[in-house]
Amino acid sequence: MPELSRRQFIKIAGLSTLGASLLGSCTFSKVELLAQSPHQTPEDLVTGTDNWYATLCSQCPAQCGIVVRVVEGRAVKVEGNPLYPINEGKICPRGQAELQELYHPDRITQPWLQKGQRGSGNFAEITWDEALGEVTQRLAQLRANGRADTVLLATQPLRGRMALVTRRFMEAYGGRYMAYEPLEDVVLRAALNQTLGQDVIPEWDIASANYIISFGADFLSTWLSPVRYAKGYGEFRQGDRGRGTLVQIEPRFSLTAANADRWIANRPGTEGLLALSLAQVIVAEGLVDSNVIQAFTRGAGAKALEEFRPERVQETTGVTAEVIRSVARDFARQRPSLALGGGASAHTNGLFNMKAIFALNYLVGSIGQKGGLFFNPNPSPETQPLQAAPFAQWRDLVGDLLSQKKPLNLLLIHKANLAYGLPSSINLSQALTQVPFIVSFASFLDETSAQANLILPTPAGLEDWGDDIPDPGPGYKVLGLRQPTVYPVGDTKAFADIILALAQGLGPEVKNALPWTSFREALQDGVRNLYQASAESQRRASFTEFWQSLLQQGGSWNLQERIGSQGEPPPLPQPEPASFAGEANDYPYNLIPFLSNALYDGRGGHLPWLQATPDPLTTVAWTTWVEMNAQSAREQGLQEGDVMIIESPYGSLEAALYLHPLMPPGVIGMPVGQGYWAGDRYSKGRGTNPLAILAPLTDGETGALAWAATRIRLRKTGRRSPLPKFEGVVSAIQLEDEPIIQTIKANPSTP
Amino acid sequence: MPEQYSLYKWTMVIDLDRCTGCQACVVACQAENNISFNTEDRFHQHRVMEWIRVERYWDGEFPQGRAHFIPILCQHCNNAPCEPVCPVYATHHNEEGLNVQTYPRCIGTRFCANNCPYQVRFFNFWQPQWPSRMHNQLNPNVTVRYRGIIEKCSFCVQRINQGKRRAQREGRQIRDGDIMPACVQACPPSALIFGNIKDTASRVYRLAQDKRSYRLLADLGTDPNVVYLKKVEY
Amino acid sequence: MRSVTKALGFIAALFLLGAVLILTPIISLATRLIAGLTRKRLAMGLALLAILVGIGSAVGYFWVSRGFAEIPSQPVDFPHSLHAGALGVSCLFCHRGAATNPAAEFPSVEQCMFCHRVIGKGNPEVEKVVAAWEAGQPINWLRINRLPDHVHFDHQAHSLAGVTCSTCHGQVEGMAKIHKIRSLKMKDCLSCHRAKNAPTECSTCHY
Repeated sequence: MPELSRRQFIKIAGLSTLGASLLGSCTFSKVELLAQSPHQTPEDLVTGTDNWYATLCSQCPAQCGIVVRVVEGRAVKVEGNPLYPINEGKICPRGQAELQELYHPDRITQPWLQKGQRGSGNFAEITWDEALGEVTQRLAQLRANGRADTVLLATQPLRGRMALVTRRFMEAYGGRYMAYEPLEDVVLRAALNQTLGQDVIPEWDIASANYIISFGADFLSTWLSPVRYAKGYGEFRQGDRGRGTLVQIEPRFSLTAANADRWIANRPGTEGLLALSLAQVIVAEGLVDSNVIQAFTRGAGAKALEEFRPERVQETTGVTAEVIRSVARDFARQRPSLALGGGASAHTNGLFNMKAIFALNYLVGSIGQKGGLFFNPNPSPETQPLQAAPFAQWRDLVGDLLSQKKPLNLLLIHKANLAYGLPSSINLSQALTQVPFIVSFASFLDETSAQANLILPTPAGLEDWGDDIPDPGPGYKVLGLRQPTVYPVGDTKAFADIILALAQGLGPEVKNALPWTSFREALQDGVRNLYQASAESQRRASFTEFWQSLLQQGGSWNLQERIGSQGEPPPLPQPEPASFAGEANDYPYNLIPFLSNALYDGRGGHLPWLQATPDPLTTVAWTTWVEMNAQSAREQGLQEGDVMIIESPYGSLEAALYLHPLMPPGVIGMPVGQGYWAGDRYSKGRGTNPLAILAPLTDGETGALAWAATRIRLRKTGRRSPLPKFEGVVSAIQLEDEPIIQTIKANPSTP
Repeated sequence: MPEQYSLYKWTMVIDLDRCTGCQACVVACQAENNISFNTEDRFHQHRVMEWIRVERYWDGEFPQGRAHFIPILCQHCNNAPCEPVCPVYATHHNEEGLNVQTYPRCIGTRFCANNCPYQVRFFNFWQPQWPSRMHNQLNPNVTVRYRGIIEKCSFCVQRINQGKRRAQREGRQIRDGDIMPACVQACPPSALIFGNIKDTASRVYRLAQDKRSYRLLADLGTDPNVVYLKKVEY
Repeated sequence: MRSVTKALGFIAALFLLGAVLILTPIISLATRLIAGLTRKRLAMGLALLAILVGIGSAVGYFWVSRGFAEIPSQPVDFPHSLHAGALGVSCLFCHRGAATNPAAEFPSVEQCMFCHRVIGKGNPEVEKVVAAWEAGQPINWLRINRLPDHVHFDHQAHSLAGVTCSTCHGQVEGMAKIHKIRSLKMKDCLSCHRAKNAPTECSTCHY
């Protein structure tokens, strides 16, 4: 028996303790053996039993109704609200991911004050009293000095009571307010107003349509109310009628183009010409009722549209006369048919394009018809939404700041990421340095908040109160309600509640404009009006009961309250050509940025589920890619994953190439939504943002950003960066050559 | 050997004519089933975990063409190639037609994943991790898997069990549409339909008889419980 | 006390079994290697042996600390024998979810106060509850019966099937301190499921 040295003994002893502790750690930890008996059990909390709360999604402007599964106070799942008329129980990937916003590790949960230089990211936590005191004091002082008009409140587009509170506050205070959205719907609204006389977006009855022409409206992915349209699309394809036909006219191969029966790639910016050419065929061939034709052409008949004969426009549009004729004939014959316009608005002639497209609906008699479009009720003065201001106004604002013409002393920002969305050529970052104090209401650090002096944390969508009148609505009056579903994570205050708190300290004039102590009270006020005006006041025992029933089902709507839809003949729009930034010789490609299916305009970038959701077409996740026609790329010796420099006359950026078999040569697609440089752990430093290099071109009349009007050139960097994509994760199976497993004699399944 | 099924035989019908490829089902599944995040690295390593995935097939090149989408999940085969190769019976066919994965039994041989022609079985190469606070969103009804085992689509068996208990409590049988896996519930165009094919009044029974119906890789004789519908275009 | 001796006996048996299982191959290995081996290697072998003994004792520790033996002392000495026994309070009065929910539920402090606002003033244990109520604090009971995460147990399903509380939790009305009466390991569950022709399919509990 050898002697054990002391040293060896210690080693052995150590090892056996390690063994014991290793095995010890395989048992339940002490914490898990605790069964906490709560101090008090809320009435609605039963261990192990789900509670479902109806509320509204806040991930995109459609604001679908959702129900949130809450287990023991934790929200664990978001699902579509089956009662809510917009989405009827369905939900998109972005809505599902709303949950992750709530429990996000990088949420701001305490007011932050910038300590160092602005933009340095050197924030210190302060209390709400200090934070609100600071803002109130600044607001009060500016107003006392008669400089209230040097205060600007920039928000995201707001609807419902939130818009009311914001508007009343800023009007009573005397400051300016504007809403911002990167890819705005200004042109769409102007076109609807000028052709159909509507201030709100109508309901497109995709479900019952028989033939749909969509001019770049990516309604299966991101356009307006995608869940509602996708639900309609399901019926359109396989409802109880025959299968509908979808034609997508778009220079980029979008998700909707991928699902279309026929995809027609036109030259960018020629959608209006094509629409009028379709009208010409319908009019000249007399495919619809002659009274309609007379009204449409103001009695001029086919002559009025002579210049749009397919043969005349085929050169400009890049679509052959036969194709135009066949589509026009089908469109007029296979009614009910519908013409939608989306991406067509992103040009300098966007308004013309959209007006021409929407006019087609009148020609085929789709207004107010099943399978056509239905008007939505106009909002009352109280519920007037706060729509996005056109790009031109933001450009002018920045210009005025830079030239010191209209200085700002205080900038309040609520979820309007100007620094990310505005093209860098207008030099917002320089302009922001001219503003002495910036306050941001935000849940997460974004590029604009990073420039702020003070960040006031707002609740996540699932912790907030709110209401919404959906736009587009379903063709009748709907009021959706948002309610908190869980106890708040962190010390946050809702934007509207902060406004109400600020109003308290700004003198009687402002205070009296907002006679509520909390936003919830303001909401109840609105619902009370509804209660008193409706027959519900007879049926329900009390207002409280009515209010609770509304919260339970997620809002109030009445299918019977359809309003009539009548179409006046729309004016024939005057054609104008699209112009582009960059000479075709120097900049051979049209850059078409598009909203990402998962990240939308980037507002989903901080949610890992969305980052990890592959793009439906390219299957790329977690980064930005450049879509280029595969064949022309190969001819230039380019491969997938080649890092390219994308250069416009207004800047350049880098991204890896994706060879796309169906992108038209001459067109480059890039998704919006990545390229955050401030931000959280999941989005920061990922990919690039094509909005940054866009030319500041606008649609002439509306001043909206023409985001598809920039031409670019591509250069190879020589570097390669493999794209993180789903494609190829699952290998294909070769069936013909060699069966992988012995074919088992198939058992017919026995139902 | 033909299986004897009890009262229920769960079947999913996937109508490819409705599917738009929007990925709502994918995220719904991630949320319901506590699937750990697919980081960028996992994409590079080809170790992405998606119990249901949407495969995209290009059809044609510019100027004419389109893309087709096929959602693929565990087919819950009646003759499942994954089952006989498992040395520990961690995966087996139950009497309601589900191909069940029993996590505590699995020892991680990955034989089943190798033998699955649909490639819908995923191996946990890492211990799944959630950053602080995010574990709050985990579904308490689904086991959080650990490193070294296989996981896959369960047809949301937790919802099936829950639905059965609800029906039992109310003293009735399960009605068509009572039970919806997370993907089915989310799907905006209602391309996914779930139900009991033994109930001849159910939607899945009717749709499975549709002339558009086919089964994925039917030649292999796996006899899946997922039925696809597609109008063949000529 | 009985259960402690029972557990100790079990541990002894386990040790014996473990020793035989572990030592046999090691000894045979050692005898093969012993000739011509350096002292160092032999020492290594002994070290290995020591590790295995360590593991064995850890297993023993596991059994003692987590098995039947331990009757943990709860933060409040709550006598089930008085409440459920002498006073005849129904289980469902406090564990409200047992018949209708997956979880039986621990009563909240508020619920204790339903009665103890009036009853039991002056009793030091009741005073603890009153103190917790007044301070707005929860009471951290120690869990006696705990299933691992990969087992989904549903109280409602069992009570619907006519299983009584005492089948698994024992004659609680006779226990001054609650202790575990069954192992609640899978074998234990299955023995009952088999006997009662309840489902034994894996996905019944594991999913």
